Amino acid sequence: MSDANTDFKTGYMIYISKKVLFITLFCILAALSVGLALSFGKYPIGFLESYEIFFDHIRGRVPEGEIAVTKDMIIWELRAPRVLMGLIAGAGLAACGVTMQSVMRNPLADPYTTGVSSGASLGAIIYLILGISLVPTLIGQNAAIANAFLLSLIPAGLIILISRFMKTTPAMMILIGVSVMFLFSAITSLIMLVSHPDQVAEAYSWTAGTLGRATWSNIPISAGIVSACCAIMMVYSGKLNLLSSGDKCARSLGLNPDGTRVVLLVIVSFATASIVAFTGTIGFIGLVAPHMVRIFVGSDNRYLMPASMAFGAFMLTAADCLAREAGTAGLPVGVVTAMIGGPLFLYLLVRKGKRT
Amino acid sequence: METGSENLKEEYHGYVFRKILFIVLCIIAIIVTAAYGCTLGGREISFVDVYKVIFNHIGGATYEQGSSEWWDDYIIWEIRLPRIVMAIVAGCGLSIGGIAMQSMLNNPLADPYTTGISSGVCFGAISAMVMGFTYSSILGQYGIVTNAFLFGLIPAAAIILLSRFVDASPATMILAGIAISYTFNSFNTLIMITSEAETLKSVYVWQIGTLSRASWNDLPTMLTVTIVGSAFVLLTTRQLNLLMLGEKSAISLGLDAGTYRIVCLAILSVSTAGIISYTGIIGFVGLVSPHIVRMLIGADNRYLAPAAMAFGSALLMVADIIGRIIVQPAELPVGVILSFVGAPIFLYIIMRQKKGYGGDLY
Repeated sequence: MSDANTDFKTGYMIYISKKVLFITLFCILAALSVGLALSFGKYPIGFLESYEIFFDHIRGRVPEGEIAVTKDMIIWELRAPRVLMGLIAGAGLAACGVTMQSVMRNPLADPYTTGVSSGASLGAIIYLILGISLVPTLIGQNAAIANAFLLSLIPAGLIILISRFMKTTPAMMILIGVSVMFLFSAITSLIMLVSHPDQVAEAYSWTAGTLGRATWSNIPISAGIVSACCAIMMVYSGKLNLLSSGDKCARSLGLNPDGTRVVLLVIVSFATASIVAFTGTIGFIGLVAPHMVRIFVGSDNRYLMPASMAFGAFMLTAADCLAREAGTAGLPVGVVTAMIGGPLFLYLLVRKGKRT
Repeated sequence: METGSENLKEEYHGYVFRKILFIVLCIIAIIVTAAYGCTLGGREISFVDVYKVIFNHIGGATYEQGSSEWWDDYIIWEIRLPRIVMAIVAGCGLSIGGIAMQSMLNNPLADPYTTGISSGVCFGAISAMVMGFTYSSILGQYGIVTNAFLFGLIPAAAIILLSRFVDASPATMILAGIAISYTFNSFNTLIMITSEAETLKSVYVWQIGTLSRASWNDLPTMLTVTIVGSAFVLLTTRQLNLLMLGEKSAISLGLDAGTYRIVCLAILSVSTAGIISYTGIIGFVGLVSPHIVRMLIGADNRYLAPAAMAFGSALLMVADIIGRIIVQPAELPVGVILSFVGAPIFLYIIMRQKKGYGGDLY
């Protein structure tokens, strides 16, 4: 009897340590991708050197010599904001994806399912093409960002408002989000239709999703909101497991499914809005990173959440290296992630066979 | 006992009657709005005359060239009717695609494009446009449509191939569809970002979806694929009902779920690709019209399928007519109007569901 017991215990320990191992592995990958992204570029800076320069700057060491100053400038002013934004956006979108897929109990759900991205696109386009700023004191890039943030909260706001008056099932929440999304993208299309091709091109590239607009001034906002939201999602990851086993199960285990859904929806929308407003719509990560990680660590959200965050951060930062340097003006990072990630994802699906 | 069973029977008849009534109402709406659609345009032809002209033409009437009747016949038959018929066919085909996908994948978010068909079609059309094909010449038109259609079949073909190695479960199909559509879409974005502003705009406009290019030449293909797709779904509504109960129930009730799904996917991809390679990516109808109809008459696919076909046709046609009259003499693409008109209706109907709508409730 005690033998079986120890066997069971060892089995469980191995099972858990495998998951922890994957989480550690993904974290290491994410950390390596930072160095890669910092050192990658037209101006040659060594892999280890880039870490050194980065941490020296944090510790307040003043670089000496012209070359050192240039390197410090390139790392700190040009590459670091982009890399940090990549980490924040990658981790944030992946965590939101995990949450949405469990909350909606739907493998097709992603951070944008509630219509966040259509709101952000519309907000940006209203400023870029029509010149309307919802926060009158702002101009330029910041006005577009503020517009995007405010409008991207509308769809989720509507879902929550409706859910206060009536019982809302996950399918209903999704469909409300979808209908708002259609409405917003219809307005976007309408504006694009009547405007000049050059403006359309500008607006299109805004919405395509890039890390290129990251600066030190906008990192604290998104970093603050995203990390707070991620922390809450981590805390809720146990409850997410209950939610994904069905409303009846969740209720009989002492969880209020409707209330939890609304809370999580608010958190996901805030996190996604604060990412999308700065980067545009970066697809793929939020939807596919959780699925990819699920193949390795299984669907227990307590492990899936941190693993996906690390993996999403790694994926986006690494992909951005290519996106930055490709062509003359660079590519939207979403293009690179999807181009490499799409086939990779298919391959993983085939290899894992029935375990999807 | 006797009266109880009588009551039950009566109740059942009432239940079926309501569904059939809904279908009939939709068909009447189609016939009426189609004629109204034919009265729109430069030359004034009255509502009743439209029917006369159409029936006379079908009856084989010929007119002296240049006479007033001849002009009426020519304008209605050659210019206005193709567009109306195209709206009916496209609306029907896309709704049937939506119904089959939602039931067979057991997912309320599924639509005809879930398996990545739209991304393939889009890629085909965009690459043709960037290679210099335009709608101004016949050759260019065929180039775009053919390319769009062929590329539209790639995602489905890939999924079908894939299902030989992996199981054909809904989850696998959805995920494979996601992977393929993201890959194609990344190419689309890449092409659009790198192309000239003018090309980008024309591609963008193509994507929204419009019926303004309708002509009789396009219709045979579209009609054929739609009829095949609809007939298949209408004949297998019972199988779809089983699939909605879930994979295990369907299999234990004797349905080879995997094979059915593959066949269904193959047929529907051809019909969807056949439609949207002519019209562009018309969203909304395929996703939403099944949901609206399901909320009104329930989820039994035997009634839902014909009802959603009729409703989808009516919805698309009405949206197209609104798009034509709202900013005369210019017109708005039907894709935009659909969302403008449809989304609020959809929201209203969702909110009317007191018990909450599960998306797949019986």
